[in-house]
Amino acid sequence: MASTEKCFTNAEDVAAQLKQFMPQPVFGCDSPFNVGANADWLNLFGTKYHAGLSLTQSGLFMIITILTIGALMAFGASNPRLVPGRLQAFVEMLYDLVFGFMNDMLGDKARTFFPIIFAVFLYVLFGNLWGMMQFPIPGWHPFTFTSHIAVTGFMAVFLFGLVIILAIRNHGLIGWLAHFVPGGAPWYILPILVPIEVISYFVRPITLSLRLFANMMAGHVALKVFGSFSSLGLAAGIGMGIVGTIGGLLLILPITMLEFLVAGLQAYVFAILTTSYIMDSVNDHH
Amino acid sequence: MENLHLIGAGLAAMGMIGPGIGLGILFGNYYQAVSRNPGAAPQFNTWMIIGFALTEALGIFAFLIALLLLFGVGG
Repeated sequence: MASTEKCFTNAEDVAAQLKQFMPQPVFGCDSPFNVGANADWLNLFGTKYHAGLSLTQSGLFMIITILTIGALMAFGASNPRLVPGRLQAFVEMLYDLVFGFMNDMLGDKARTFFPIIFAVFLYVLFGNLWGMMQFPIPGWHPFTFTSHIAVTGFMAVFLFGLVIILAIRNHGLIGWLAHFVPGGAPWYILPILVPIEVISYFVRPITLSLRLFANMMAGHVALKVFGSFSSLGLAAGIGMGIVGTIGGLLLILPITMLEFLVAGLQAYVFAILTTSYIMDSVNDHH
Repeated sequence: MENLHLIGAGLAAMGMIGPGIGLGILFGNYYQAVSRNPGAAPQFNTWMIIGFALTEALGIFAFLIALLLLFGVGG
């Protein structure tokens, strides 16, 4: 991140509000750690893609997130006491939150699926929260990897593949396909109902990933827009400049608080929806 | 006439109207239910969030159309 060179994409083509989402190599463009970052050798359908292996801010913040979760769990859950300290109480609160809704929805099967849902919840939550962090260093800015459809899309497709495998294992292929034929419906509306059921089933990973991506991206664009109000106000002279600067600063405070709410809520929603998809695929009656 | 996709993206944002009304109804009824029977609030919680997510999905489709118009087919 020390480098401000733009070697992946031509950053001048992108709107100012979207520049914060462009991943750049952490060690600069010409670092030996970037394997082929400047070689556009992947030619797909007439468009050349940079296909280098380099550590971008996205990957850096994923590593930071994993280290944060690991440290939190290691220090919070080691040496447990009957009367918990602050860190242990925080870890127990997160655990109770996730296990609470999983127990409501899955019952005695909650323990089987708890590790993956808890991991996904913590990963999304701390990814969102690290994106809200501020660094007091000019030129550095936090990078929210959950604001990228590539990241959330892969998570959703992976989790939905798991759900489909679970459903086929529990119900068999015929039983899984029978999900798409609603029981008790007259035969003559089945040609309409079955495509609707199929579409509403397979659109799930799309909405799951788009919800997280859209919320995080829209929130950070809003923060950027309100932040640019106050910085542009400085250049607008005395009269309107003061109004713009103070107004922008007053507006950005509630937006920031809202974004912290959204960061927690979207992680919660992501985990709850994944649990509900798992619930559909492991329950016997539907 | 070459920037009509921008108008289309703006029109696609109007698809947020429906989910906005729906979320208002959802949360209004949730708070009404909780204020009538506060003891049952934990039971409503999970299903309220699922209803919230499903309602919001429709707004996300509108957002997706706007994004496709801005950066996909239009841009």
